[in-house]
Amino acid sequence: MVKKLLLFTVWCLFISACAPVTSSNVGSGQALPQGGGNYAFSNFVLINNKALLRDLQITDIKSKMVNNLMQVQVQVLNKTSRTFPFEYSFTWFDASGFQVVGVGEHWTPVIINGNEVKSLNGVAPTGEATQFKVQIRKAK
Amino acid sequence: MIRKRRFFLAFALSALLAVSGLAGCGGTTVRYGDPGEVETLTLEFGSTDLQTIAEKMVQSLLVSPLFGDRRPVVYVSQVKNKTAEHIDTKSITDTISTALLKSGKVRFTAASEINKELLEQLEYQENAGLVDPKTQKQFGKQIGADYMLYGEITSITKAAGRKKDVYYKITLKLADIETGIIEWADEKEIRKGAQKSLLGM
Repeated sequence: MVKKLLLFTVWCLFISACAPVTSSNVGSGQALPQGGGNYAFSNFVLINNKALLRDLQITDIKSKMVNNLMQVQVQVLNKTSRTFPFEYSFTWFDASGFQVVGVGEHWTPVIINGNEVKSLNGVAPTGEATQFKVQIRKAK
Repeated sequence: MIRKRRFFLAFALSALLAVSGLAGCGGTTVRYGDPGEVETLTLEFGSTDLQTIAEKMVQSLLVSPLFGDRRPVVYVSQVKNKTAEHIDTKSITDTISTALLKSGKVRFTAASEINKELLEQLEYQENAGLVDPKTQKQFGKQIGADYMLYGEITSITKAAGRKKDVYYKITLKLADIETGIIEWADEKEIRKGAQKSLLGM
């Protein structure tokens, strides 16, 4: 009994130290048609959380070229009636698939209200960027 | 009875282990962090605010029709801090100008704090007699800026009971130096809230 209790405590400590990680990729980046357009949503958005995959829906992805820079708009629908936060980040790639690094790249916090549609907007840091990927994750 | 006492001792030991494990006792742990991580340590202006503001402003400027094929020359004036807290506005200005410069769509004149050193260097090249005249840079060749980028950051802070709310607003404007016309302006708002726990921990 004593051994069992000690074992259980050690197990609890182990579990508390290692938070469970859920990961599910919606898709991977692909080369975009030149000059912008609408895309299959799943190819450009990566959501690494099961709850967010269930609660959020990508309703539209658009892009256009402005001043020779790719401008992207991703529309996200909150399918629930709850308000909750999440974070997103744009990553840009050149035609060869190499990452184009901008200045001060970061995760942007967003609060989405119940049944609301939010636009996540990104502009490529340089004219070299012709592909993108949006990562969405749970707010910490 | 002994069995019961043993059980109680084991239980107490386990509880102590669990508490110490969860509290993370045992000194300081140092680790590297992601500079792009969302930071919500305190209500004060932080790295995420700076990055979010800079990104929004840079995106808005880059898609403006002013930055088409020609690369205008811009003079950057430091963003004025009109909040009650200390904010390093030079850092905001630097991030914005670096991102714009990296895009290749804009050129900047040297910042005001460098101008004095540039002048000293020109005077040195002309008067010191040490510089080869063939490579000597001339006075009067600097390019005049087309636009001036300027702006300010303001805040409203409110507190009631255990709740505190901070609202930041940064406004940037781009003025044509020759005509004085404001050709572009944008603003970004940020709201942050905090609530103290009942136990004040």
